[in-house]
Amino acid sequence: MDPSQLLDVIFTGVLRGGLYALMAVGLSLVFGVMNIPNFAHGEFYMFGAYLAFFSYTVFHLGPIASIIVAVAGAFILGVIVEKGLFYTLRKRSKKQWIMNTFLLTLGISIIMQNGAKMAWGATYRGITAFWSGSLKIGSMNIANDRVVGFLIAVLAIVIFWLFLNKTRIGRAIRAVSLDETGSQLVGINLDWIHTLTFGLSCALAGLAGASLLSITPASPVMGIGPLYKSWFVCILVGMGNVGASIWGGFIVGLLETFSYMQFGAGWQDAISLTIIILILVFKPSGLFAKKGVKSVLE
Amino acid sequence: MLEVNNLETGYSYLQVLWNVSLKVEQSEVVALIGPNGAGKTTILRSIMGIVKPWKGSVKFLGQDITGRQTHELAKMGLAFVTEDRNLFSGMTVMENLLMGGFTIRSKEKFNKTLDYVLSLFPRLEERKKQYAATMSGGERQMLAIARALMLSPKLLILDEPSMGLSPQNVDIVFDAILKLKSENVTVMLVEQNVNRTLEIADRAYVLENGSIAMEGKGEDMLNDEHIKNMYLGVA
Repeated sequence: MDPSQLLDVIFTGVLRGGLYALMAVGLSLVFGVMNIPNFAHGEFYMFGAYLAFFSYTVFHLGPIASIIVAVAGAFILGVIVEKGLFYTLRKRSKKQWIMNTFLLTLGISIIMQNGAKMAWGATYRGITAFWSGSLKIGSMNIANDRVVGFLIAVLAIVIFWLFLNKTRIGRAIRAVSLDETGSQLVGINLDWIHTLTFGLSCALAGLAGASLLSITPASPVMGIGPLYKSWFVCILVGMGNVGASIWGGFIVGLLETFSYMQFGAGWQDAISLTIIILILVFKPSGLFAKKGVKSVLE
Repeated sequence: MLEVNNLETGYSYLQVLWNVSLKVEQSEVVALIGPNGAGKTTILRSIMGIVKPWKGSVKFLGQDITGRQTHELAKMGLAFVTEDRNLFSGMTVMENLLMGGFTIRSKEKFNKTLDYVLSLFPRLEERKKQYAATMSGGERQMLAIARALMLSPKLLILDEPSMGLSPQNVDIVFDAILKLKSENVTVMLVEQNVNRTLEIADRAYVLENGSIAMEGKGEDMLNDEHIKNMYLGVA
């Protein structure tokens, strides 16, 4: 592999990694705070893409406005799903919580996929570009949308990180993920934090779907790929570790791009997954697992 | 101030408490002692809404708080330091204290409370940036009490604050309780260290097999034959 090719790998990998990180942060947050293994995360990505598509083409909003609509819409849908389903379940029983919520998210995923098919059909709905043109780096042409999408992802992650660490409510979210009883004892309303957390996680997924609309057009099953990729990331770095899932996103992005360039597209998942499995053989609770971090089995 | 009337509760179908009534008045230190498994922690947990009472009522400052949610009670000024401490282990000492003051919206009041709490436990000031998980048992207990005090509680409930601590750390914890007592903070205390507890307590309740077996003044209890035999190891 010559140096220019290596540069290609790094650029493409980092651009991809930004998206994976954005998806994985939301997934990890929901698992860490609420103990929900969310298999409907990709459907909020899909929902965001559709919202951006309709805002942009039907209502002729600008790119930024379309993305904002998508984020707000995904947040609201997330809040409705949490209040309607997880909140209700939590009030009834916490037994077998992880298994029950896992099944619940699987159901939500199927309903949302088929709901989208019913409402908008199975056709791809894409746009040519939010920001037409491309950026030339070395021998590569990178579509502007990819670059802007990456910048949006990085910006969103940075803002989210500051929110979690520097604000009162963000700190409360972290507190709930560390100790539920302790959080209640200092006066935090768990129900409120759970709803907010789920909404925010969905908003991040919606943001990812919307900002990459020109690259991956909206379709009912578009969420499956990003869902699995974000699960790879979360499992690789350790479940519920929000900070590490950012780095995990970039690791998986780079791994995939590397296998893609070296061995061809057919091999990219096989190679990158093999490497992830190898890492997990030696570090079963994830690359950055901290002591005391909960695992799926608990 | 706090009034528990005919409380009965338990876990699933196992009843733990039978007809428990007790009272804590303003500026009192009230101790609750009794053997392991008598239900001391369960009383505290049902006051705090962590365990739902089956029968009976809990009143705080004249209001009925039976079965209210824990976070609402925290806002009313009830602070509870659990046996497990329930600290935020992945956060720094400072962040734990910040979380303790979650309900305080005024910056000025927050800073005042923080200064007061740090003056009570100067050790925490030195450890501000350390993660709670990396501290020793005694320091964690101090942090747990300090975090509860950040609420500026009207009533501070402590569950076994000296458990598992070295003798020096037990001294620090009891000194802190004495200091709180001298400042007229109302404290309810569950302890295994019966001798020292009765020395500082204004009044005490003895809980045996899920019901109140005795109540009286702290100093009277120290001289009681039954207490001497059962808890103080003086035959």
